[in-house]
Amino acid sequence: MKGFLIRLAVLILVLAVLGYLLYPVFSDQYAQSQLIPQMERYQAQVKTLSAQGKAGILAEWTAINKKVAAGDADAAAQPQTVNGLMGILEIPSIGVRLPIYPAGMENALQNGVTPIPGWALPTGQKGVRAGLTGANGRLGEGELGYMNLLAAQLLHRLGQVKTGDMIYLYLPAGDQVYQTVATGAIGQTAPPEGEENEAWLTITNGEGGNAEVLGRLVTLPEGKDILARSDQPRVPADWVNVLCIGSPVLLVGLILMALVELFRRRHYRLPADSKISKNIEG
Amino acid sequence: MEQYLPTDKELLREMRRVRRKNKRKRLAWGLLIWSAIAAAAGWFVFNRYYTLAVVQGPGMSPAAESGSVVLCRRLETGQKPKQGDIVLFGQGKEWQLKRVAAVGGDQVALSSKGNLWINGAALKDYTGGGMDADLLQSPLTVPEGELFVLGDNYALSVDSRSSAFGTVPAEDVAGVVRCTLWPLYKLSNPFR
Repeated sequence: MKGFLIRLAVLILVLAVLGYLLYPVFSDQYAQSQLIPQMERYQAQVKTLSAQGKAGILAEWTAINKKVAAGDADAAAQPQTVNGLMGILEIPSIGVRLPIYPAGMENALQNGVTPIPGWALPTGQKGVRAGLTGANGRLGEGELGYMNLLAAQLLHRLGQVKTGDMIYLYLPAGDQVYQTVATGAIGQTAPPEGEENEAWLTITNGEGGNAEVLGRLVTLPEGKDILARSDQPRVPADWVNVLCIGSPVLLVGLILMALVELFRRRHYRLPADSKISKNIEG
Repeated sequence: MEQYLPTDKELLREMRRVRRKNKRKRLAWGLLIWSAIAAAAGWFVFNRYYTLAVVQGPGMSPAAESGSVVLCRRLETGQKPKQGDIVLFGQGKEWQLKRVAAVGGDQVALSSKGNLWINGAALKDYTGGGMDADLLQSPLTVPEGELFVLGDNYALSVDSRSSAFGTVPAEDVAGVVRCTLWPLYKLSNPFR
């Protein structure tokens, strides 16, 4: 009985540690899966936009940028959207793919990112330095929150972005690619000095995060070498392939072994007249 | 000489000891044998049928997003990729993942209005992109045994539209993508 209790305690401990470690990963996957339908609807809708429709959105965002530059910080609160989204932000190096909501939308930072109030919208035009912000992760509800477990990572790992990492914006008026040129405290709304003929993007992770990333727009065909380098799949080493493909077989084997052990007949028995035979049978 | 008869408790203890020892032995052998079977099966399947690839970059978004792990089916001898297949192929020392837009003998041209024509039919949903300029200068007939490949994200894909990239020899194709294994939410989402 004592041995059984010890094993049970160890099992519970192992499961608790595994749960603590794996919860953020699976919870984040779940949170992202909840955003997929919305992002897919957005992408499908963008595909149906006419050239005039796209030009109209770009013109509206450009006009907003002019108002923002003139000091009207609220001008960018409700720009034109497609299916409620301004676009999608993707930073592959930290596994981020989030919807961009208008800054004026309620609870926008719970699930995605928004333009920074007072900053330009990402039109990709020369001299524009756009800003996006997101939450430094969303805590789980109830006890999970007290344990500091994140239900969604959001921009929690923004600080891990390095110079050279790529940032992608899938916007109604056309997709944009930025290459990270600086990280750290770089907060200013104007383009870097002497670089006004480029387009820029700043991303921050707001409260408690304080990570900032500055990207420079890459355009095709001029930037095709940069894009081509960032757009190559990786084929894992042979042994990783073998391990990944073989692991389901090993899993099946382990389950079979466990079943055999479970239903195995006991071969060692005490004499039938033993006083404790019944206990052992049990 | 008097024969020693163990008590029930001693018998029980001994019985448990033997049982535990045999169980450990069985588990160790089982683990060893199943590991060997798994490794052999993995090696066989990897060499003959499937390989994994990790997508990087936006070129194939949204069908295969950056960070996705895809399962690619190796081609049988003599088998050629079809139009619409997403193929994994080697180009120099690098790997590429693109969709086959046209095969050997097909004619590809870009109209001045930004439509991509393949054998006289406009490619559905083609939205144009930064690499169009190259193709506009030189409409082409895809050589036999070669493939004209495009990324799904036309605006951000460097592909056969670029003269530097060019068409791809079909023999360089390592496999055709069958499904996405990661992220998990894509498992239930049929590969497009």
